[in-house]
Amino acid sequence: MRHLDPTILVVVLGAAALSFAQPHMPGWVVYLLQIAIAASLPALGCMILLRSGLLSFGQGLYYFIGAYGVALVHAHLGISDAFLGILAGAAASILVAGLVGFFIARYRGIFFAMLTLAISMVVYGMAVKMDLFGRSDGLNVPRLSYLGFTPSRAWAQTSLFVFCVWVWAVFGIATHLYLRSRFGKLLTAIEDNETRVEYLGWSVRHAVHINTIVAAVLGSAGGALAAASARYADPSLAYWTTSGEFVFIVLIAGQANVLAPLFGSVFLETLRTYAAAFFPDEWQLVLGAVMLAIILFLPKGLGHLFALAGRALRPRRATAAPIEEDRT
Amino acid sequence: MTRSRPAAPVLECRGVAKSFGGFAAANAIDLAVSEGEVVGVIGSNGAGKTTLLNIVSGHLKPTKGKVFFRGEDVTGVPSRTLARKGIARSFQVPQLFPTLSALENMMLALSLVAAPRKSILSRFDDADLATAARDALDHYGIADCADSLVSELPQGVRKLLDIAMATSAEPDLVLLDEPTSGVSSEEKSDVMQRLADRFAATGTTVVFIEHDMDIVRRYASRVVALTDGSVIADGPPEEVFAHATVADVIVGEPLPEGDA
Repeated sequence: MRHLDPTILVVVLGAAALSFAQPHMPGWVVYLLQIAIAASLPALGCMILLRSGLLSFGQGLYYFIGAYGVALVHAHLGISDAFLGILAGAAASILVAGLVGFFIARYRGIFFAMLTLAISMVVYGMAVKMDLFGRSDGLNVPRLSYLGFTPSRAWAQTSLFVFCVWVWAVFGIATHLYLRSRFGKLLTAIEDNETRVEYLGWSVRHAVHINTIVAAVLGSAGGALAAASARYADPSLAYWTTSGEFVFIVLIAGQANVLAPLFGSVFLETLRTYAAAFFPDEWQLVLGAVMLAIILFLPKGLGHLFALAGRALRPRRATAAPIEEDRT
Repeated sequence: MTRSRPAAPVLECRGVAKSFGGFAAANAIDLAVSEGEVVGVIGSNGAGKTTLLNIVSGHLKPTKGKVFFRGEDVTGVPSRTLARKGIARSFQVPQLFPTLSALENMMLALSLVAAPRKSILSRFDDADLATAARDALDHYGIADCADSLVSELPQGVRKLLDIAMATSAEPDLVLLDEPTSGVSSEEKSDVMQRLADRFAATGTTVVFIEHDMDIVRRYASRVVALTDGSVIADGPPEEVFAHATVADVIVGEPLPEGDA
C-alpha cells in the first residue's frame, strides 16, 4: 500500500485544524490569514512558472480577473455564490491566459517577465477608465452565499474563513499532484534543457502555454478569495506592484513545496502588520532588511527550512527513488 | 526484430542543400539509407556533416531539396514530430537535464516518448517507470550510475545516457553526432561497442558522424564522405578510404602515388 503523501496530509490536517480554530482566533488574525491565503495562490502560480525558469510579473492580471469574477457576477447577474464567483473568474482566466499564452509562450527570461508585466498594465490602464470595473474606485463585493446557503451575519466570517482555507487546500493539493506528475517533471526539464525536451517529442511552447493557464487559474482563485475577504475589487490588483508582491513571496518562501508560498505569504503579511505597527514610518525599510537577510542567509527561501527539517528527521538511506519536487 | 516495409529506404535525401547567407554548408546531397545499415559520415571540419544531421532531424529546414523518412516527405518537419515518427538524435555535446539524476533523466525520456499510453499527469516517481528506466540504462551498461547527478558523470557515461534517452522509444532511425567526441581513448571502444551491440540487437538503422577513422572502419557498414557540403564518396568503408581525396583531405594520409 502506498503511504499517504505527507504534503497532502499536512494540507488536509492543517485546513481542518484552522477551520476548527477559527472561532478562537482574534478577528485581525483571521483577516490576515485570509489575505495571506489569497495572495499565496497567485504566488503558487509564480512558483510553477519558475519551475520552467519563467519569471512572471503578470500574475496580478489573473488576481484582478478572479476578484472581478466575484464582483461582476454579483453586479450584473445578481449571483453572490462563492463557488460560482470562483468558477467565473477561473473561466475568464483560462480564456485570457489561453489567448495571451499563444503570444508569450515563445519568450523566455526578461522578455517573458516584461511581456507579462506589460499585458497586466494594459489591463490596469483600461480598467481604471471603465465603468464596468468601477473605474479606480472598484466594485463592492457582497456577503457571499455557499451553494445556496447564506450564513447569518454572526457566521459570515467563519464561513468565509473556512471557505478560503478549503479552497486553498483543494488548489494546493491539485498543484502538488500536478507538480509531482510526469508533466510536472517536464516543467523542470524545460528549464534544464529545452532542446532535449523537443527531441523527446514534446513541444516546449505547448508545455509553457499549459503551465501559464494553470498559473492563471491559481491567480484567479486567489483574487476571488481576496475580493471576498476585502469585500471589494479594484483595478490596483492588476498593477505591477501587486504582481511584484507575489514574486516577493516566492523569493521569501522558495520553491521547496506547494506549502512554501503559503508560508511565505503568511510570513510577509505578519511582518508587514508588525512592522507597520512598530515602525509606522520605516516599515518598508524593515521589510527590505528582512528580505536582504533571507537572500543572504537562506537563498533557497524559508520553505527550505522544512525540507532541511524533513531530511534531518528522516533516516538516512541510499535510495534509488528520484528526488521528488525539491526544487529549493 | 522484424521489419515489414523494406521497399522504401528508411531515410532518403534528395538534392538537399543549405546555405547560411552566402555560405553553402550543404550542396545538393543525395543519400539513401536502407533498413539496418550503419552509415558513418566523415568529413573535415565545415564539410556539412552536422548540417546534414540537423536537416534530417528537423533542426534546420533545407534551402533546397527534400527529406523522406520511410517514403514520407518530412522536409522541415519539427524535431519533436520526427521524434514521435521514429527519428532519434544524439548530440556532439550531450543534451541532458543536469539538475536530475541519470535515472530521472531516463525516466523522463521514457515517460515522454516511450510510454505515451500512460497519462502525462500520472505520477512521475512510479516504481514501474523507475524499473523500466533502470533496465534501459542497463542495456547501455550505465545502470551503476543511475543515482548520480548528470553533472557528476564522466563524459563517456553522459554520451551513453544521451543516446539511451534519444533511443528510449526504440526509433527506426538513430542519428548520432560524434558519439565518441570528448570521450577518453580508453572509453571510446567501450562506448562504440555497447552502441553497436545494442543497435545490432534491435536492427536499428544508424547514421553517425565520426572523426575517429578507426571507429568508422570498425563499426560502419557503409561510409559517406563529405567535402565542402558535397558527397565525394559513398560506399563500403574499404572503397571510400581508398578514394584519393578522402585519404588526402579527410583522413590526412595521402595514398601512395601508385594507388591514387
